[in-house]
Amino acid sequence: MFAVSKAERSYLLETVETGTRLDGRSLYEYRPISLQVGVLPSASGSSRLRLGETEVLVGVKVEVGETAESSTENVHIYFTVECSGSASADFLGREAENWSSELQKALESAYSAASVFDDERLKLVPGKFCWVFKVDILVLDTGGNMLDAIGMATRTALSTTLIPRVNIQQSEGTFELEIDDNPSACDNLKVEGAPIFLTFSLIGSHFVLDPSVQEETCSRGRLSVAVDANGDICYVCSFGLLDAVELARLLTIMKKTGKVLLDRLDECVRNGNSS
Amino acid sequence: MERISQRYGPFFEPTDWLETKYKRERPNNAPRPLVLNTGTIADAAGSGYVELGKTKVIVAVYGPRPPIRARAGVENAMSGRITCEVVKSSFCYYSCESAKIPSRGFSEEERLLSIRLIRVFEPIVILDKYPKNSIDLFVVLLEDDGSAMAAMTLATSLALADASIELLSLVSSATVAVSTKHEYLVDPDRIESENAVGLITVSLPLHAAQLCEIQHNGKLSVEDWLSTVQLAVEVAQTIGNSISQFLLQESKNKETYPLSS
Amino acid sequence: MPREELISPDGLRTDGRRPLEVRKITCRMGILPRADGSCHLEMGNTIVLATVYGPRELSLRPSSSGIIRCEYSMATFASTDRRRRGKKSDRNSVEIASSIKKTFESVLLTDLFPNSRVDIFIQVLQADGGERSAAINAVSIAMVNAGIPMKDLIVSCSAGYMENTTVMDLNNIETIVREPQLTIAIYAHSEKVAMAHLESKASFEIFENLMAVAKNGCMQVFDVLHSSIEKYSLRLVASRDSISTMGSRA
Repeated sequence: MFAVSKAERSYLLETVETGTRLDGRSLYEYRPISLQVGVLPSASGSSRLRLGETEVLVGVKVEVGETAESSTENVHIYFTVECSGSASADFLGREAENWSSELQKALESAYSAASVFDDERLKLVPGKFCWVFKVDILVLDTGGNMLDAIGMATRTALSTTLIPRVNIQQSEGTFELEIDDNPSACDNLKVEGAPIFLTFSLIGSHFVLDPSVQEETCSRGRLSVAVDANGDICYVCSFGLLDAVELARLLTIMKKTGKVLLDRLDECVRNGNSS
Repeated sequence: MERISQRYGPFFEPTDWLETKYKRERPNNAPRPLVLNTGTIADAAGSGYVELGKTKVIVAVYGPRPPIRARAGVENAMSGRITCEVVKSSFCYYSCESAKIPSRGFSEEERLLSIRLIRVFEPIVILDKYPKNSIDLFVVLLEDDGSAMAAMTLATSLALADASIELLSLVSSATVAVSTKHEYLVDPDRIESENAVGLITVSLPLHAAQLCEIQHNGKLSVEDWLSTVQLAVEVAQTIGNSISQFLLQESKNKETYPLSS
Repeated sequence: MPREELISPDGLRTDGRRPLEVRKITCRMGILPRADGSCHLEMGNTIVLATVYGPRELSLRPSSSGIIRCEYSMATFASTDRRRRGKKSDRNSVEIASSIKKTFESVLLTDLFPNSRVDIFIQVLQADGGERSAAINAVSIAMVNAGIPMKDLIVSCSAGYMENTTVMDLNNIETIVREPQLTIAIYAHSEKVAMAHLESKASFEIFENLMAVAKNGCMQVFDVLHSSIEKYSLRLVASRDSISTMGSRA
């Protein structure tokens, strides 16, 4: 695991007390984010995101799948988070498994709560066929605050995902799906409702947004929240001793920062690649 | 006598049934009857048993003891550590094919519950007092009828107290669900949890205005969320008070027995 | 795919290359700041990310020379059909990892760092044939980036025999065909063969031919890699100068 010496730790705690952080940021400031979309030609949608030293690569594959008859969903979405060995040589075995299943759970919970894909146009044959989105997340470098990086990268990759047009023909109760394989006959997936995550770390008695690895190692607790464009909360996970009175204040900061980040992300996707 | 195969269920459509038949049998702000017990497992340093309605949890604490599975660095660690293994009993699943044959090893859900329990108790147990030692929690979720995490936290809290492990405070926990009709349902059962638009579990130490853990699934506005958390905190405090009352009573009983013998 | 289509009457291959032409290689080194050495290598559409950690402490029993560990994994989205992640248990990955490990055991001066280990991690981000040689080239550069002492630089290239022609640096379509294919890794300066991997049977003449072509390919690869290492080092030197002049000015 990442180690921080005693001197480094006390220096970090002292700087946070003064309202700045080791890398010069203020307490509620994100590290620079650079974003690339359409990096994987073999995927339906993809993005590569760098948040400080954290780097993730997301590929989305779109398929048509069969669904249970009772199901009313248009889309089944699956997330897999995989940590490339290069990211951190110490992420092996059970540790890595727990870590990735936690991230997957958070994504699943947030996306199902936000009901992102309640779009009529994504309807195939309810109870028979539905879209299957497989979101594969590959962590290339772990520099702290994985969840936020993954959340943003996933949202961006989904927003660049192209959905092929499908012709549904019904004959005698059986359905035949004909997928238009013309690459230009695709629709862009709408993901306005998709949430992103924002994470606070508790260091000393202060909360800092977007913790780096050093800060994560020195932190006593964490608060991760998923917010969508309306500022609604789609997922919360916290641990460590947090002051109950702080919650309202932190949520207002998150709501505000989340809005800014979401706007920036949407703008980046519209303008193609950007940083 | 004709044997009815368990594969015949469910005999009703769950969603229709929920709207027409399902009725909460207690006020929205009342938790289910709480059953507490300690010292159920003789071999363990401490143990706790909690029933929240039909949800039943038993926890055994072993330790502080030297770590059994040696891991680099633990032998010389300045503070102790907590390990936790959560197991769901094979009959705790409510589905038409109830009892499952458990797969080998721990399921993903069990592993995540273990991590959550460790994270709740790491700041509460005074680990600096147990250097080079490990405190091992073994949790069996006997039956899961909603609010399992809250019940597990309560039982662990009891078990740690029973094992006389030094804690900053007792930990209490409560779950609140927000229903589709926007009612706040305290201590929801399984059906209420599954159909909730928001489900919040809060764990907190009894003697400080702090929170150990918040887990929220579902979508709520910030204001609703804060008031739900507030409600959960209040419920957790009431439950916590009954826990401390119970422990006080238990310790009084214990005091009398050894002296008389 | 019918055989006739692999090489057009004009002597051009499916991706428009001539038989004795390697794909476009781009290589960026030192891209992961927290690793000791890293390299992002593109050979045509094959993209590989190699990371090297070490030499660092070996927690196991003492050993008189350094130990190398290698892990090779293919991203789920690397090829057009999405694979379930089979990561380390995947037999193909294990085989490639062990052959890369052996290749680098021969070239690293492991005697210089006893009781320590070097970890190699290879992540294939996109697979379009020639992953094995791309991985070896990437690791080689990452080793240079990490500053681990080596006897020589290792370069690798593949060659295949199809339609009476020997072609070098096969892409995915050319790999699928069950024809003799050879991947070799050689020491760039002494031209010794460090690793050779042949698939399908080949007559002795064809094998010699493949060997010559693959060797030729290796030299082409070496030119590109060498110049990019040089460029990187010059940039480092330049940045050092600028920093030192800045220092003297202040």
